[in-house]
Amino acid sequence: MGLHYETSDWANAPCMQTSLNQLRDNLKPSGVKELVYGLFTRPHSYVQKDAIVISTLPNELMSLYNELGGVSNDPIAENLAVLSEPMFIDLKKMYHDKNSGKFYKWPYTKKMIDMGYTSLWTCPFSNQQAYGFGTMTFFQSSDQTAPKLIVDDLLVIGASYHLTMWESGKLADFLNLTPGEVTALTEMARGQNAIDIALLENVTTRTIENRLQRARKKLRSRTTPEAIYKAMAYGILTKNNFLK
Amino acid sequence: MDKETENELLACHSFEAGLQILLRHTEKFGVRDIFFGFMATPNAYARNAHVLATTFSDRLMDIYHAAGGVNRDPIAENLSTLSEPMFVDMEILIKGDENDKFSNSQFVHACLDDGYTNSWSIPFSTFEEHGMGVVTFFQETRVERPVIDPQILKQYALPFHQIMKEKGHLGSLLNLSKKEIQCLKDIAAGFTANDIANILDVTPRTVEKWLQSARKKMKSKTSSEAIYKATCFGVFNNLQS
Repeated sequence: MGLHYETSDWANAPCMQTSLNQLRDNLKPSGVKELVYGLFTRPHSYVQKDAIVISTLPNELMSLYNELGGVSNDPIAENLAVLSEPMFIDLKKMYHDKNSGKFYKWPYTKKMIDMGYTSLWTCPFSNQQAYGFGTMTFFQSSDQTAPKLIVDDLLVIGASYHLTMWESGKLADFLNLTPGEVTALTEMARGQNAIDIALLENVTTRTIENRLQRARKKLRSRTTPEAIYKAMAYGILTKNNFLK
Repeated sequence: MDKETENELLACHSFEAGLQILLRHTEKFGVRDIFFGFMATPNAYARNAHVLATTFSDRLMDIYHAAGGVNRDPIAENLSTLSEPMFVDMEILIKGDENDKFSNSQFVHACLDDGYTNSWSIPFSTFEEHGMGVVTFFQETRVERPVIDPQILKQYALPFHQIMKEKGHLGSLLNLSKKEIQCLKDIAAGFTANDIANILDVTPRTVEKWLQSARKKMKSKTSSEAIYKATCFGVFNNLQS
């Protein structure tokens, strides 16, 4: 391995953002300047605004990014659905190349170059257990002495960050569902309806419907079946819920 | 699991073919037949919401079902809580307590007549995998055979399940039609029956019919339950695009 990092550091962090910051700090000596983690449950998540994005990029960069249209105007997001191989982007080349379409002279790229980023690698990973998929993007700085990144290492790091977050429940914590909301989803997945669950929990049917509504909102889902699918992809509904 | 078995499993075209490959590669450990069972939630077998696949002859399977099927199967009853390999000695099982519902089963008699004497059931449920299942390896000991080592079989059960699920063969045991799978997939993506009807240019009633028949095949009361089960079975895997 060309890159040195300690999984235990970021695996024990309290939340996904801290973990990602620690991973970035671990990778800094190897030439990685910033990280962006993205998770999708379907190919066009970025249009539906239900992608989960966590980044270590400074706020000034993120606010400009959002001003310019955010994820719906992002050259990388557009390609994510079909990305099966790592993708390399040279920022200066993309900025000056007339063939890069709407990203030619894109102000966001300019800002990134000004801040010292030169290139990036976007590495896809997939979640075999439930069917989410996503990417980890590694930003590289213009520091000439920085070692060259080995893409095979980056692929392993992206996948293991995702798996660790999924298995440790930090991804589930990120979506911040209450135990009552999780129970309501679990029972719905078992084939119960709100009335059954209300009897089981000794509350009113309206309470259960409220919980389901909040769960759908947090999971950015229009329907309960969609919320159940996402809850499985994010590791909120695990087998343990069904064994209770 | 050895690389050769894995590659053959990855290349096979159906669940049945996968089982035959698994049998061929575990014969050297003393395995004579394989019985696979899987369900999405604890005790789902009690309402017939499980799938079975086996290398047993049709004759033996007819006896299995006639003798009460999963309801008189000691493995199915324990599956929800099984975490370690379970050994069944059929000669002891058959002579067991008269009040025990597993004793004196026609199926066990038939197995003994055919020369099977014992079986090892390997549960392959892990925290990450949804649902629970088991691969049971049957052995006969009248002929000179090595004694089965369950630790070796453990290396086969989980990877076999994972490959079959990833390839969509596990999902195909539910016998869902392409249209039903597509509808379920759209439901999982947050569309309603009306939305799907618009996309496919059919009436909402047609979509409702497809969903209803999908729910029926999956023994699901609601679409929410059907989506949960479809994900457990890997139904969406062969339509990933």
